[in-house]
Amino acid sequence: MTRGRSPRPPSALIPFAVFGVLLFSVPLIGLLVRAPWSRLGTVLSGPVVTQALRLSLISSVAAALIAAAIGVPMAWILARVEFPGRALVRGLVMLPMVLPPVVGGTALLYAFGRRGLVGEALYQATGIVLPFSLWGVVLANVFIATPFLVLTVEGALRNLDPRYESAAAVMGAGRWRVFRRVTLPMIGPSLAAGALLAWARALGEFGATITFAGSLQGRTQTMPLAVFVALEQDRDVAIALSLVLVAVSLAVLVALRNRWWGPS
Amino acid sequence: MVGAIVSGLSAQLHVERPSGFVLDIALEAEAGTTVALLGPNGAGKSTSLWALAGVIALAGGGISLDGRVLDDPASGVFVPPEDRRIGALFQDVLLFPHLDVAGNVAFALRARASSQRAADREAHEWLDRFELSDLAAMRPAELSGGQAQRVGLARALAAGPDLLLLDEPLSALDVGSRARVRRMLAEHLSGFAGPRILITHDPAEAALLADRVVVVEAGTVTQTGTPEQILRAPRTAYTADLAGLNLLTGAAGGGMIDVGAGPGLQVADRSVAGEVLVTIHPRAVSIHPSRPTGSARNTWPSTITSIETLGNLCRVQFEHPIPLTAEITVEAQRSLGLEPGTRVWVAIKATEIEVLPG
Repeated sequence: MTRGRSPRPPSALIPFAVFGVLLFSVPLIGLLVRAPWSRLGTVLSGPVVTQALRLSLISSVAAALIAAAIGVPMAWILARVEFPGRALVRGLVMLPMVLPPVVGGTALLYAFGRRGLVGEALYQATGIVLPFSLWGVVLANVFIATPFLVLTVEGALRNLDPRYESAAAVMGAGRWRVFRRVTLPMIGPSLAAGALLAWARALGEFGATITFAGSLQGRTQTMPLAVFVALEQDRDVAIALSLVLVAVSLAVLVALRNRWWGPS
Repeated sequence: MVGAIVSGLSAQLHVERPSGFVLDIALEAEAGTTVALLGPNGAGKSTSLWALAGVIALAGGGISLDGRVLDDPASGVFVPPEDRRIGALFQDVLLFPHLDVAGNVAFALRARASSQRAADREAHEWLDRFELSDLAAMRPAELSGGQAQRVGLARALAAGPDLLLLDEPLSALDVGSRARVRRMLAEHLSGFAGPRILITHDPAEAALLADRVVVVEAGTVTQTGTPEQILRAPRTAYTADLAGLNLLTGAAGGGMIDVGAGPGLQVADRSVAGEVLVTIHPRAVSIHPSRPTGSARNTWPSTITSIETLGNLCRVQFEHPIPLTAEITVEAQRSLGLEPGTRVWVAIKATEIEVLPG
């Protein structure tokens, strides 16, 4: 009675798959075992943790929203418009994905720092200083996370049957209405997946943030930075912070699993 | 510029595709008539549709509809698709998967309606007219092929277009829903005053729905006329192949078709009923010296009335009991010793018989 059962993998795959699952689960178990369960409540309610959690959630959600706002138009143009230098522009947009984040942070510093290419003019005109501020954290997150969204959405736009948009135009819809009522809803699942990827990347962002925005507790110190600092001072706090990050990430993945991976 | 039809469509379509394909056809359709663009796959039928709709711009020629110039490269006039007032029943229907049935019809109405609410209200009136009210809240993925075509036609007609384009409206359907969709087309097309262009690769579909046929092959017009004229006097290998099809009319019921004489034809689809048009390709008719005992469901004895040789192929004609043409190789004809007057058995597989509701 093998018919109708779920398929059996080739035996050679099984040890590798088991090893892989262990690789992902053992570190998590390590965290759980070493967690300071008895004083977890006090550690988590301390100002370091609450402030870092608040900053992380604000900056990562803001970064994901901004990534969508600038990423979708970029993806649309990269997918649909033929212009000279398109390959170069696409390379530039995707660069932060392969660049070490600390290099990205350094580049941001020389562009948007108080003495930077754009930053100096910005400071003189408005008095706004981006580095070492919450907006600096958001900017670093946007810089690192947006390529993930562009990549996802551009792929979705290329796979979209163009006849639907043509049909909408024949039915009297102008370009904006076609985009808003046909293109966007039809790539909706991919846009959501891309935004989730960008959010996850922003939540874990470390290198560009610490380089560009520093690690000022209560101002720019997000969860990953707080974990790093705590490792030097109070290991219990580092573990507690890590557990919170794991819990938040898992909660989001579980809450959204039906929408993006189909019910299972 | 294009011809002088004031009420209807007048088009000279010259399109050059990046692939190197060139389309160059003339097309005229008076108000209230249906003109079929008939041709094999890759002939340029879809390109014609998208050029008429304004999705592909002309490189030369022009399009005018009721005297209104829609595209004229020589003078630089180009009306974008959203301003052409064209209704289309697209191939694969292309209902928006993220909108329900009412939303799909309302989408076509929104461009003209004063508000989304007005569009929604009018969409429900159209659904009533097409007896689709029960499906209003359903998603396209939940519809049958016939239902989707009905929604597609409602969506095409709802905005009150000046020109109606129908792209292969019957070919994707099973025989049962073809009858319903054909009835629906007949019913609603008579109420549409403008010209209609039917795009199809199926001569039976053209014969059933069109007043005139324009045959397109490899981007050019090879023949025009009424469906009867084309089938009676084919001028190209393609139309000759179409003309060579065995066309029979009959009454269907219980998986059998009575064609007026001879044995009833057994067909694969048991659901078909009523008046039907039957097409059988001559290649699907086989000839046997004695009663065949294989899988073919339809066999009967007959006498060859004539044999016509075309190159390596023979067209063998039968008159009684069912008028039929079979296409076999010259080798087969020789080895079986077939001549006019030879008594043989004719065999046709049930699955080779195509049935269209008449």
